[in-house]
Formats: sequence, C-alpha cells, structure tokens
Amino acid sequence: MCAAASYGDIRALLRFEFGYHFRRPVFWVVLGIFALLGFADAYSNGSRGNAFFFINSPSQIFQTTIWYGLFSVLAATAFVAESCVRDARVGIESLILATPVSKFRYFGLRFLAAFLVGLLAFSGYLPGMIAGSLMPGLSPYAIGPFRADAYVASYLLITLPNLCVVSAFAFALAAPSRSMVVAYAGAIVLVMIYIAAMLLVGVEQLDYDMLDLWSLADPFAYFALESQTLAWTVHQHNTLMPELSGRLLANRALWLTLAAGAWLFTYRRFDMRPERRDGKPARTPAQPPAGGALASRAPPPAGRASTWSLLWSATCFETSMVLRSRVFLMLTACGLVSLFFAAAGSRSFEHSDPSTDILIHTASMYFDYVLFAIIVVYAAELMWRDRDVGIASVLQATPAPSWLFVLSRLGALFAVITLNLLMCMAVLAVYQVTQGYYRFEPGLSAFMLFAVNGPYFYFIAVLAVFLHVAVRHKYAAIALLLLIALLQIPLDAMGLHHKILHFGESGDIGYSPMNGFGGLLNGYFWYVAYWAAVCGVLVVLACLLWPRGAVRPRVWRDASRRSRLLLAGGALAICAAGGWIVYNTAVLNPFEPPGKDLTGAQFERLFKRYEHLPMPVVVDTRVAVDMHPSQQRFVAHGRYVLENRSGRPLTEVHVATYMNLRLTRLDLEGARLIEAHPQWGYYIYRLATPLPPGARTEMTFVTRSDAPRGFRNQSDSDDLPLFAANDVVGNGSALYSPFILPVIGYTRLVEHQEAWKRAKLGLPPLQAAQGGAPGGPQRPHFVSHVVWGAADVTVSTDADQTPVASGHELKRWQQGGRNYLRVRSEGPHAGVFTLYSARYRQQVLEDAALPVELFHHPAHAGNAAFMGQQLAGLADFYRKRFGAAPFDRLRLVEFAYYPGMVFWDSGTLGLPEALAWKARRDAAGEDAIVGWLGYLLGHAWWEGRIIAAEAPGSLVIRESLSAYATNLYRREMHGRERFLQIKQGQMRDFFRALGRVDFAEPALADVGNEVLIARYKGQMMLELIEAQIGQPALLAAIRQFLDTHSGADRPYATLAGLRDAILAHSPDALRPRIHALFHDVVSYRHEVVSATLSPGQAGAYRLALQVRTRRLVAQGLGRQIDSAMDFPLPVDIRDESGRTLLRTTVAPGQHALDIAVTGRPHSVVLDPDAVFPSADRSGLARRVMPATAVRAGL
Amino acid sequence: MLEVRHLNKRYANGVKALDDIDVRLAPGVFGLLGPNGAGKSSLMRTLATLQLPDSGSIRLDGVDVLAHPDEARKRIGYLPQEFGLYPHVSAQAMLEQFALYKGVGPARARRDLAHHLLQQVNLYDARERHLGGFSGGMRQRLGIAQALIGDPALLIIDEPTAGLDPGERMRLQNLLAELAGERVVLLSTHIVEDVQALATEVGVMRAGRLVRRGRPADLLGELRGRVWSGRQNAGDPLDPDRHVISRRVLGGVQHVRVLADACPGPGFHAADADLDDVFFTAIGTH
Repeated sequence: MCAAASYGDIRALLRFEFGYHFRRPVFWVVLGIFALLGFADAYSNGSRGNAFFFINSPSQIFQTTIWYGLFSVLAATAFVAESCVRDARVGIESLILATPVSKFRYFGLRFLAAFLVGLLAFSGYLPGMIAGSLMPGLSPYAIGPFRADAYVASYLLITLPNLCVVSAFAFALAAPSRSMVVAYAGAIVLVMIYIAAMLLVGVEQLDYDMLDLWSLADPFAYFALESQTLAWTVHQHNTLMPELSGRLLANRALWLTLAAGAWLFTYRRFDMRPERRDGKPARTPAQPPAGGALASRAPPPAGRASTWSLLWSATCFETSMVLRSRVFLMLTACGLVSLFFAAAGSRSFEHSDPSTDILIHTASMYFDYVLFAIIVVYAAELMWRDRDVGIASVLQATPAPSWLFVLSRLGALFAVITLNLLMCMAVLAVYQVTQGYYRFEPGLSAFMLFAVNGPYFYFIAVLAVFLHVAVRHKYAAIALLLLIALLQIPLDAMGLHHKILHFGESGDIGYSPMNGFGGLLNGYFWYVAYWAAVCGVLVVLACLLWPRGAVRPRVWRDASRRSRLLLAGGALAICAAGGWIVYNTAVLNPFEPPGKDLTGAQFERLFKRYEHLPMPVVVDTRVAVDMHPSQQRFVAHGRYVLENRSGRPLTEVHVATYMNLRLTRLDLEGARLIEAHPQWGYYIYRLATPLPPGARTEMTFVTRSDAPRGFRNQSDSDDLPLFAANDVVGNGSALYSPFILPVIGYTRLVEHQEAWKRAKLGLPPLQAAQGGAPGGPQRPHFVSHVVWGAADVTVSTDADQTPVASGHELKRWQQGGRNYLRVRSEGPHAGVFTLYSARYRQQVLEDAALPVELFHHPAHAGNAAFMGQQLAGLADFYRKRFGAAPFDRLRLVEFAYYPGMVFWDSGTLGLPEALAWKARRDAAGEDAIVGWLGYLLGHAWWEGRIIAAEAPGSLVIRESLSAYATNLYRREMHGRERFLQIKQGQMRDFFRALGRVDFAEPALADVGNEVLIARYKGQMMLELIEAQIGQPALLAAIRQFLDTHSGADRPYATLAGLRDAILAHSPDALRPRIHALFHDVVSYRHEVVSATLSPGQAGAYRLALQVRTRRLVAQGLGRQIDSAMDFPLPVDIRDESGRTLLRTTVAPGQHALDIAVTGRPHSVVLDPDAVFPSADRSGLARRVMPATAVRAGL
Repeated sequence: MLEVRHLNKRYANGVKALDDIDVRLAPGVFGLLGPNGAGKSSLMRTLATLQLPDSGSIRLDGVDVLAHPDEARKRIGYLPQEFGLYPHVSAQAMLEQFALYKGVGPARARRDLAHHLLQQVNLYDARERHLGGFSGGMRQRLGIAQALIGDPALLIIDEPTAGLDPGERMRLQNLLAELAGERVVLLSTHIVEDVQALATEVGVMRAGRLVRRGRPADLLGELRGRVWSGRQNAGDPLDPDRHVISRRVLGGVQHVRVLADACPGPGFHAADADLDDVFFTAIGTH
C-alpha cells in the first residue's frame, strides 16, 4: 500500500512539475532558440560548403554539440535554478516546508523534473541541426551520409553529461543562495573560465601542455575531444566516431563525479527547516524603535531637483546597487583572473610579445562572449528588479518621468561596461609587467578598448533595455536580444554582408604597429555614428514605452513635443549617416566587388583557353616606381625586353594585370590592341609582323593604383581584404612586382587548386602541367613570364620614408623632396622583386661573412639585433653546406602585415611585422624567429641559383630544402634533446593542420600549391631519407642538384631532378623505397606492444620486445591503408635516468626482438630521433616490465 | 478636493471592477470598506494613475488625473496593499531615492526630508538599517513615509494594517490619524476597526459599486433601533424570514444580529448598531 502510494505520489509530483514548466513561456522560448540555432548554424555552414568537411560528420556533430553546450547554461539556469528559487520568491516556501514532505520528494524530484525539462528544451538543437543539414541547395561537399549513430552518441556522451554538470552547478549555486542572479553569475563565471582556457591553449599555435591540462579541466569536453582528434585526417574527421576512451573518458568521469559531488553536497546541506537552513539562529526582525511622541514639525523646505541632478543621482543609485552586490564582486574577481589568463593566450599568435595591440585583440575575443553575457544578465536584472521585489507600482505612481527610469538603468549598464573595459586595461598592464614588458601604450589601449571594441557593447546595452521595455517579457526579450546578436550568421549565409544590416557592427578594422589604423577609422566611425543614431531612437522609444502600471503608452500620441523632435532628429541622423555609408560603400566604391575567389574563377573561365599559346618571356626589366605613401598610391613606368623562346613565330602578346591595378598605357613595338578586358585585367595585342623565334622586342607601360576614395564595407565574411596586396599604405608598404607590373600571357597564379572550390565556382577539374608537355619544364614555376635576366629598378618614396628594394644597390639620393633608390640584379628571377617603403630604423652588420642590413620599425629594435645575428649565422651555415651565396649582402625588411605574404627576392627578405619582429624572447619565440629566417634565407638561396619548372612538385624544391636546412641549423644550435622537442612539436603541428586542410594530401611529386605539404612533409621526408643514407650523402645530393641547375637558364629544375640526385647517392637496396617517398602519401604508426625483462647471463638482462610497425599510405582525404614497413626502425633501450644503454633496429617485417642488455633497462623508445612522420606518437615509448610481473598479470 | 465622476471599468475576463463610481471627497480620511473583490484596489490603482477606466473622469484639485497623469502624480502619495523594498538598502537611502523620484532636490534637501519623515513615522533610529531586516509594521511605516513625500493632496493607502500585530496596528492608526490635515486620505480596508478609529467619512463597496456612503454617525443612525441581538444553539438553522446581519459562534452558541423594525422574537434584545452592522447590511444579500 505504502509503496504503491509512494509511486503514485512521485508520479503526481513529477506531473505537477512538468506541467508547471511546460506552462511557462520560457520553456518554449528556450526550445525555440536552440531549434533555431541548430538549424541556422547547420544551414549556414552547409551553404558555405567549407571544403570537404562534412558538417554532419561525427566529429563535427560532436564539436558543434560541445559549442552549444556553452549555451546550455541558459537552459540549466532557466529551469534548475528557477526551481530552487521559485518558492522563496513567491513566498510559499514556509507553507510547503511545514508539510511532512520529504527532502527527496520536495528537492530531489523537483531537481529531476527541472533537469529533464531543461534537457528537453536544450535538445531543440537536435532536430534543428538535422533539419538544417537536410535542406536542399546545400553544398554537396559539405554534406556527408546521415549518421544517426553520431547524433545519438554525441547526445549521450556530450549533451547529457554537459547538462548534468551545468545543472548540478546551477543547483549548487541557486539552492543555498535562493538567487537567480547568483545562478546567472555562476554561468558567466563558467563561460569566463572556458574562454580564458581556449585562449590559454592557443588560437593559432597550440600549447600542448595546456591542452593536456584542459582536456581534463574543461567541463564541456572540447579539449578532450580535440586531444582525441588532433591528428585525424579529413577522411577520419568525416568518418570516424569519437570514442569514449582516453582523455574523453577521463574528462566525462571527472566532471560527472564533480557534478554528482556538488549536487550531493548541496542536497545534504539543504535544511527542511527554513529558519535554521543556514545554521544560524532565526533572524529576529529589528525591533521598532521605542514609541514616543510623533514629530510634528513641518517638513524642511525643499526645491525641485534639476534634470541633470535627477539623472545623475538616479544613475548613481542604480550603479551602486549593481556594484555593491556580492554577485558583481564575485564576477569582477573572476573576471580579473580570467582576463589575466586570457592575456597569456596572446603568445599563441606567432609567439608574440605582450604588446598592447595583441593583448587587446585577445581580450576582445574574451569580451565578445563574457561582456555580452554580463550585459544580457544585468540588463534583465535592472529592468525587472522592481517587479521582482514588488516595488514597481509604487515607483510607477511617482511623478518621476519615465526617461529617468530608462536612462538611470542604462547609465548603470554603461557603468558596468566601462568598468569592465577599465579593468581590462589594468589587468593587461599588470600582465605586461609580469612578462617584463614595459611599453604600456595607455593611449592606444584606451582607444582600442573604448573607441574600437567598446561601442558594440554600449549598443547592445541600449538594445537590451529597449527590448525589455518593448517586449514586456523578460525571457522573450533575452531571446530576441540573442537572436538579433546572432542574426549575422544567417545574413552572411545569404550574402548580406553589409554592416548596415548587422546590429551594432561597425566594420572590421585591424591595427598595424607600423601603419596604425591605416585610414580605416573614417569608415568605421561613420558606422558608429549610424548605430549611435539608431540607439538614440531606441532610447527615446524606450522612454516613451516605459510602463505605468497597466497603462500602455501610445508612442506618438502621448509623446511630448520634445520626444517627437528627438525621434525625428534621430531618424534624420540615421538617414544621413546611413546615406553617407551607402554612398561610400555602394556608389563611390563598388559594393561587394568580386573577391579573390570569384575574380580568379572568372579570370580562369575567360582566359584559360589561351594558356598554351606561345608567349614571349621577359629577359630584361627596367622600371621606375614612384610610391606615395601619404596618398596611398603608386605609379610605375616600365620597360620590358621580350624574347621569343617558343620556337615558333609569335603573332600575339597577351598581357594580364593583378586585380586593383590600372594599366593606363602600354606600347608594344609594332602591335595594336585588339581585345581589352579592363574589368578582369586582360589585354590582347596583335603584332603587325610576327616575332620570329629568338627575336626580341620592347614593351613600355605605365601602371598605377588609385588613391582610396571614401571607405568600403569591410567585413570578415566577404572575400575582400582590408588592403589589397598591391596597395600602398601610410607606413610599411610592400609591393610585389607581379602585382604591380604587367604579366605576359595567361598566368596560373590565379587558379584555384582545391577540387571542392573549383566545383563550387563552376570550374572544371584542374589539369596539372606535366613535365615534357606544353607548359612543362620549359616554363618557370610560379611567375612564368620572367626568366633568367636582368632588372634595373628605381624606386622613390616620400621624404620621411626609406625605400628598400632587392638587388645590388647602385645609388641613393634625394630629389624634389623625395627619396630615391636604384638597384640592379641579374640571374634567375631578376625580374621578380619587392619594393618596400616605411619610416625605418636601419641596422647594419658589416663584420659578418655576408653583410646584413636590417630595416625595421623603430619600436621593434628589441629583436632586430638578435635577428641580424641569427641571419648572419644562418648565412654562414648555408654557405658551408650549400656553397657560396648568390647575392653579395642580405637585407631583412619589415612591413605591415596586410599582404599576408613573405618575400625573399635576391637576398632581400621581407618579413611582416606580425612574424618574428615582435616575438617573445623565450625559447619558443627565439626558435620561431630562427624558423622564419632560415625559411626565407633558404628560399632566397635556392631561387638565387635555380629556376624551378612549372611542373608538379616544383614547390617542394624550395619549401622542403628551406625547412630541412633550417632544421639542420637548429640541430647544430640546440642540443639533441631540445631539437627533438622542436621536431616533435613540428610533427604534431603538421598533422593537426593536415586534419583541417581543404584538399586531398598529394604525394610530394604531385604537389601544386599546397605549401603545408611541400614545406613540412617535404622536410620530414628529407630527414627520413637522411636517416637512411646519412647526412653527408644527402647534402652531396642536394649540392649536386643545385650545381646542375645553377647559372643555367634552362632546363628548369624539377622535383624529379632532386629525387634522382638523392637516389644517385643512395644504396641500391634503398632506392625503390626512397623513390616511393616521393610518390606515395606516407606516414607511420608504431607501437611497443610489450617490453618484458628477465635476467640474462653474467649479470646482463634479456629484453623481449613485441612491436607493431605500420607504414600507412593515404588515399583521398586521408583514408589510410596499411602497407609493408619500408625502413629499419631505430629502438633505444634506456635506463632509469634516460640514458641510452643500447640502440638497435627493428627490421622491416620484424615484430619481435630478443635483446641482451648490459645495465638494467627501464624503458624502450621507438623512433627516438623522430624521423618517421607519425600522427600518433603515443605508443612509441613503454616502460619495461619484469617478466614475473607480466606473468602475474600485473 | 477629489472628484470622481461616473467611473467604470470592466476587465477582460468580464468582471465589472468599477460600476459608475461617483464621489466627491473633501479633505479628511475617507474609509473605504468592502469585501475581497469589491473593487477597492481597482479604484485605488485608477486614482494612482496605474490603470485607465473605461469611462468617467477624475479631478484632483482641478487637475484632470486621466488626461494629465504626470501632473497628477505630483499631488498623489500611493501605498499599495502589497509592496516590496530593496532588501540591501537602508531606510534612509530608500527614502531619499523615493524623494528623488518625486523630484525633490538637491541631495541635501532629500536627506533632510528623509530625516524628517523617518522621525515622523518613528523610524529615525532605524534609518541606517537595511530594509531586509525590517518588521512588517516598520515596512508599512516606511511605506507611509514615502507616500508623504511631496506633501501630496491625495494619499491613497490600501490595506495598511493587514498582517500587523495589535501593537503595530495601533501605532499605524495613530500615525494615520495625524495625516489627514488638509489632504484627502483614501484608506481602503476590510478591517472595520481601522475605519472606526480613523475615518471622518465611510464608503462601502460591493461588486464595483459604492453601495453606502456617509459619516459614521449618520450611517449608524440609519440603523438605530433596528438592530437586535439574540442567541441560539450552534447547530440550529437560522430563520429564513429574518434579515440576519451577522452570526458568530462562540463556545457552541450562535450569537445572531438581526435587522428588523421590531423585536424579531423571544430571545432577542435591542443592540447598539456598530460599523460592522453597517458593513454587513451594505454588502449582505437579502
């Protein structure tokens, strides 16, 4: 009877709770939000078609689910926390707790019901996500097979545990405090920690130690999943299901245990006797003061408060209410700590020092989530507090004008935002001090925080206040606020990039240490003015709509004359600012001109048919380039000497120009223009008399760029850069000659290599140029119209800047208030050069074997000396290994980061400000500096001696040799251990990046423009080859290859030539296997299965090893096929101190070894020098176990 | 002077909360009696500019309250039946904030005014305590204090003594008695004792209508000689022919009061009419 009644009671209690929650609009609002989020996100990603990554692959579903988990704190707080607070808030707690209800039925069941309801509401994302991925019209490259098991697995492994965790902690916060604000604050703290963790682990470069730590410490399992999938290929990302094992299992177990612990602790502490719940004696209300004669004096005289003093006093009151609360103090304390950790994440941006700009950039990523969440929570708290407390009707009956209520609360919100930004300034300065960095730049910090990043948050605060007033429902207003803030996602998916449509967005502007904001602030502040006008109107409307009891104001009819004038003025300001913006972004400048992708596609579509037409090559270049940084333009007057090397008479000369470049004049001897496509930069000239084979002719031309007019709509979402690669900027310009001078003939530079992108743009599959076929070894790689020749370049710039160019410096002079430089160069790629202009500080190292000149931003003098020394050392190293330098001096030049490129022409190395110049001077930072210098120097060294052919694999020559040579230098500079760490880090970084590429990994011999493969895979293969044939043999092969092609125009060098040189220096037995390294996509996975120790003879030991060695050949997007191991695998037997007792090898095909060792072995390490490229190195080392322990099953 | 003309209000659920309320109130305490749901609070909220009637007019010292609510609020002090206070704010600070909302300035003047009012309501010694620790009576007195800011011409006080202990209720009654002066005090309650102690005029509302109105003495005079008191056993049914004003069971005996022009029967004796009788005869069904 009791059990049946008990079960029935439980059902009834649960039914009541479910009914309560389902009748609340907030359930349907939360359900709707997540359904919409899942749908919009899936549809948006599927429409964009991000390469081959299936948006509905198992790993992507897991990742997306984890991201949504961050928002699940909203669901947990809205239901679980509310269920703890509800009774106290309405005043019914005493009534219920005075009944004989048990704690389990009252508290436990209520939590269970709230948790299930929250889970149900949050689960709205699932049908939304599925529906979004099933919509018609999505990119076929983005959608894989429907994997129901992936949705189920992610729900069980991610959604359910994550919601358990956030619910348990919401419960732990709300139950003792009886406060929703405390619960929301806890949620914000969780988000703070999470964002700080993401920044700490690294945005661009991963800190793997931090990743290991956070794979356990992260309650949402993002890093645990990242650890598991770190080295997955694209194919594996698309097909494999993440497993509940390793760190993911540990993470789930840890956090579910912590959640259960928190829940149990709170549950047990909850006292069913309200008066003693907190362990203190019942609080006696303050006794009223002793009664006495009532004062009957007349009230003191008082005047009317002025409008400003009213507003000031009311705002101070509202602000003090916020700032004095314990919750805010807790948030502030956590925010300080989190910001500090977030600042530490700045090192992941190319090992940057903690300069102000990079710290603000890091902090802005933090604020995008945290400050936004704070505004959402506090706006709701400020706008609904009076109703929740029960004082609303009293206040609304006072003669206080409605604007006072609105503006004072808005002022409090603004104060919270301002305080956070000020706090950020202080924390970042403290962080800089802790890192020994003392260039504080408070002006820049304040400007970036308040003028650049800050306005958005103030706009959001206004929107929040307006929505709460207009919508008159707390959670509906919050939902609408979130929707408006996230509206950018679907708008971008629809191609509506204009900032005028994205609430509060003011354009993307970047800060350059050299070039400041580069004129981008003009447009930016017009957007700020526009949104400020919009917000002004919203504020007036909020004041007019402020409720007085149940009276609904009629906005226009009840508005005072002043309000109407303000509204009209605001509307006018919106039209004026908006009109000016539209004029600049759509009339003065083309709105959404085709970006790089579309331009390249259209160019190829129209002109690829001319690819195989024979064209002359440039054998001599003479050009005068006048750069005008103060006006942001240049003009180039040039002359080419063209030579017909095609072997047949030429009747046409085709000329192409880079986007944004104007060709204002072109004269070709004896030719007339027959076809012009200025929109695409393609021109066809017909020669009156065909140019015979071997003959030369001259072409003169004038190219220019225009000074910018007005401003453009800058957006992260469209394909338009802030500055084009051939834009002259105020300080720190770098102009690359193919972008500023005409190109002869069709160029493959513009062609998209990625198969998915070609299909998306309607282009046919790419046909690679084959050796021997037209366009094969007879054409230079990359810049195919420039061959072995000469260049004479004169560059001028403004009087306050220094021009720099590659080549032998002939003369510097001043003339007409400008600075001039003339240089000359001869040899391969002489017609390819880069021109620089900036307010440089110059340093010269004349006493190095090869003189080094540095041209750098004055603020970056700290690293310049180190970089100069390292460059001199590298040059000496290269000279000893690879022969004399092909240039007489080295230049290292800094420029603004916009082109996104590096340069190395004729010994003048161009490195943007974001790389190396401001790297930290710790071990990792200095290694990064060496890496970049070695990389660029290598490029300059090879390309100063040889021309690679336009053939598959040619990119590998310069990329792999540069990377390999740099590692040789590192090996000499560091000890073995340090170098091993670097190598292992390189390997991890490579395979992590490989899992995110948008192309199928080609074999080295098939590489087109895949720099990642050419550089890092090529380097690893060379190191593997070195391990097989020895360093002297490999270096001899490389020297032979260089010597074959140095000083010769044709035949151009190919990867096949390098390969054959290496094979010639390899033992016969190894040649087929080394040959395969160039033609297969190879990686390895080795594992020590067991290492068992037993006593040997005469005090020695016997070690029995079982190993598994795998050579993996990848096909397609990374589907890996096992194949026979090709090379012997080194094995180190080490003692307890890590010293190597014995090194032996595992022969190909061998799986078991029986080794006699003198000295007690402690561990076994396969591939101790990390020469075999392996995505997963976790099984390479193992402790040696005594045989007796193994037999005992220990 | 408060003039309410033909005020009507029907809510969306069909309930007629105000049914042709028509009354002029001179300075003094007007006690508004009525059972729950009679429309007292609806009338209060309408007078406090927190809701609009369907028809009718309200003028306070010549100001059209419905057309010029902002102006009217300067002349009104309002204390609703249920209200809250910020728990972590002191009484002084809360009162100053109310003074701010009522346009009092500068800051010093608000402070002085708050001091004065706290003394007036006998909360001066508790001025620095947080409101979260105040007793019910203290909260009500603070509520009165905020309603007095700006020396309003109309004080609207809804159920001020509900839930207070006898000591607190007496203190509050004493306070309210001091307040009338030259202003209209509209005091709504269903505790007849409050009206008896304070009101110079009494009104009784039932189902949205003002069914009785007058000075207490006059209303009592209407019942003089017509109220009869008797006893009967607790379980005995009431005679349906008698106009029963009220009945009370004490110790197993029913004490019945009946309205009749003559003695209704044996066991009944004449009784002095009181305001309870006025209330029950006004709201009772015949």
